[in-house]
Amino acid sequence: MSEHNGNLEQVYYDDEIVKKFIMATLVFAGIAFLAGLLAALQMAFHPFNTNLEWLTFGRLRPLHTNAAIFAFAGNAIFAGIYHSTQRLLKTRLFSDTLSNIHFWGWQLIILAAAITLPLGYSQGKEYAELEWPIDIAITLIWVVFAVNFFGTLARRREKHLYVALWFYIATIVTVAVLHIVNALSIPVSLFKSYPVYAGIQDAMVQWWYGHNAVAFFLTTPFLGLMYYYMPKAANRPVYSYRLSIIHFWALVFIYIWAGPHHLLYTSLPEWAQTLGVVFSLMLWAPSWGGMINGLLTLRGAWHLLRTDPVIKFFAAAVTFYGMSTFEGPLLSIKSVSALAHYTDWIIGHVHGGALGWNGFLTFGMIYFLVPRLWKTELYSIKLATTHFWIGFMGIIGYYLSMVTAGITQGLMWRAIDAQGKLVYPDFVETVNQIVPLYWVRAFSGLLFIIGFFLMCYNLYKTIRSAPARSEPQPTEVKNTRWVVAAGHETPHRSLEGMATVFTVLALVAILVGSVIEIYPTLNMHKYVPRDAAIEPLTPLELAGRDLYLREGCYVCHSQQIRPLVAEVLRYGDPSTIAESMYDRPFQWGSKRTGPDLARVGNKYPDLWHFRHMLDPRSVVQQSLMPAYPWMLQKKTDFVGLRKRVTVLKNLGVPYTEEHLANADVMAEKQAAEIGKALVAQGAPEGVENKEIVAMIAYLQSLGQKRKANRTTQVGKAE
Amino acid sequence: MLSAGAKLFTDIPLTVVGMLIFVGFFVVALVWTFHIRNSKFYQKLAEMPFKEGKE
Repeated sequence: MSEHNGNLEQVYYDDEIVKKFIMATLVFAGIAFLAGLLAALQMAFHPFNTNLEWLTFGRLRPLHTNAAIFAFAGNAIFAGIYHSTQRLLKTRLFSDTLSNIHFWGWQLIILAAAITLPLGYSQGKEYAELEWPIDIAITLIWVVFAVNFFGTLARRREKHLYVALWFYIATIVTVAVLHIVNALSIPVSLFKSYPVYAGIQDAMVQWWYGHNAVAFFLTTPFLGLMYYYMPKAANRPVYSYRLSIIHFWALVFIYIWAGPHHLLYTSLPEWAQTLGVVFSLMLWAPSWGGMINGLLTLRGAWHLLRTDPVIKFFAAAVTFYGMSTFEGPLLSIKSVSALAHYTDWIIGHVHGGALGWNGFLTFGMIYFLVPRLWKTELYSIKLATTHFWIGFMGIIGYYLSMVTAGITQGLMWRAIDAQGKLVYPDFVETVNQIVPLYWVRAFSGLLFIIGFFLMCYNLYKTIRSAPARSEPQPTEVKNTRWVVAAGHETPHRSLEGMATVFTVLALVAILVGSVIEIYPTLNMHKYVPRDAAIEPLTPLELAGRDLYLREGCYVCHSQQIRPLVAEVLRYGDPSTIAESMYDRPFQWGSKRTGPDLARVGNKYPDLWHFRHMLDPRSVVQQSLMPAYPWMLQKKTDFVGLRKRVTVLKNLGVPYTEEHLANADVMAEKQAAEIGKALVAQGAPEGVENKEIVAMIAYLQSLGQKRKANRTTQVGKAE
Repeated sequence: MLSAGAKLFTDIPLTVVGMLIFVGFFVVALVWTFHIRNSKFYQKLAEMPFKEGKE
């Protein structure tokens, strides 16, 4: 076979769309970071919750995480993918119209999230809080992105798909699968829905989604960007292209299995937990293979670390990637997880990845792209270097403070004296011990943000110094789409020439683990008989549960007692599968800034909860919890309960005909009983139709749904 | 016959079998990928970001 050079052709790249996504990245980075700073301050000093319902920690935290992941990282991914894909495929993007629909559609989704999350419209699932209309919009815009990307692949002028493109393909395909499967829900109204999964099924699907959102939204696309921009910045090819093949296939195949490591020691079946641990440990190999491949790309160019801020950011980003992907499997080991889970160690781990890997890689990419896209020089290398060091110190401070806080609190939770009693039985003791570290975290976050604003100023001055806009200039490229390489072709290279086959194989790779883990869980009812002794929530308790979701209580409170000695001593018997079998969504949680609530029912009188919700410090002096005074003002939506109960009945919750017909009447009756009991205990009159009563009803029901355990609210109050 | 054969494996944890298949697959993939014969092809592919044409 002979090789020829291909025809020279002219291409007009669409860089306007790349510029738009870069601008959106910067805007939403600012919002995400500032929301994070405010959330950090709220943890250190509760008055920062401001008693405004839409700014309390439970609502702000989902806003922060969604803004950081989908707005900041999302826009950065799209900018980098659209820029590099055109060049690697030597063609303009498939459709300018689709590009713009993608851009504006995504920004509208972010805007919708920024409005609905503070208002409390939340599905109550971590990183998937957005309600169903927004979920549908995400699906549609993702399809637009996919059509635009694969359309570009179809009309490429280069046969071979460079490694970066494989990671983009895996991202597009997998995120679509994850989002659609996890977001399946039945609407009750425009802003309320219940997931089709319940309890353990929901837990399994949610953490399959949650873990792989990190894998396929925050890792694979950024690895693609690394494989493109690091060689470009260092002016050296990637260290080992062959290693990248192993890196890619091993990563996409293994990553998808690791979700259950978020559910260790829970009531998830042991086999699923073991699979999660084993595959998490196996992730060490491909992750470090990728990191080494990235870092060694700088071989012979290490001197650039001294002078080039882009290389500084890239090298640090890849190092943070290595650190996070070492720590992730470590945290998946059951004995380590027993200590670290629910603590701030996990928060430190996540932010090491988010700020160090995603943040620094994005900053490096933007410093690389802006001067090239605006055809000018970077305004100040010194300022960029300052940004690097301030941001770096911020990340280190954040990480160390949170790991220290996590280990400290984890050890305090499990400390047992010679008599077999908890050394720190009062949960708030363990929180107050780490408050100084919350201040260090907030200060470190502030450093990171200062660095970011230095970058914004630097980029503003850079763009201001750019020459006036001129007509787009074409790029001359060789059309090698149909060129046959000299000599033999390796099988993998042939595969890369077949984009469709490659995509299908990547899809199969991620579906194998997904199906093996999720399918048995979805069929669990076949071998775990329904526990007839578990009652569903009463309509009023259901109303309270929906308030629990609205306020984001799950971001600070778990509802899952692990079978560990210290937990059983502190909270009671380990949680069982049956106890959450009707929970849509499950509320096992992932963090304990406050204590576990799985068995809080009947632990305190109604009046205690009443006071606690209105002013937590009135019953727990050192509490960090926000106050919820609006719950005493707002009325419970009794009328809407019939529809909610009907939807849940259709999903399999064993509500009776009476529930369907009289949910509102039943709820009002129970509320009146609780209201009466509250008055008897010293609360003001006229609260029975207020939200706080529904919330109390729900909290008092937790751990009380086994018929044998159940005592009436009235009986308890008396 | 197939089911009779499958019964022989009931005592072996599925995870271990899966692990062996998995490790075997990747060992083969590693050997194949790093085979010296393919070296120059991959070197060429690694240089793709530098052959995008002049902007």
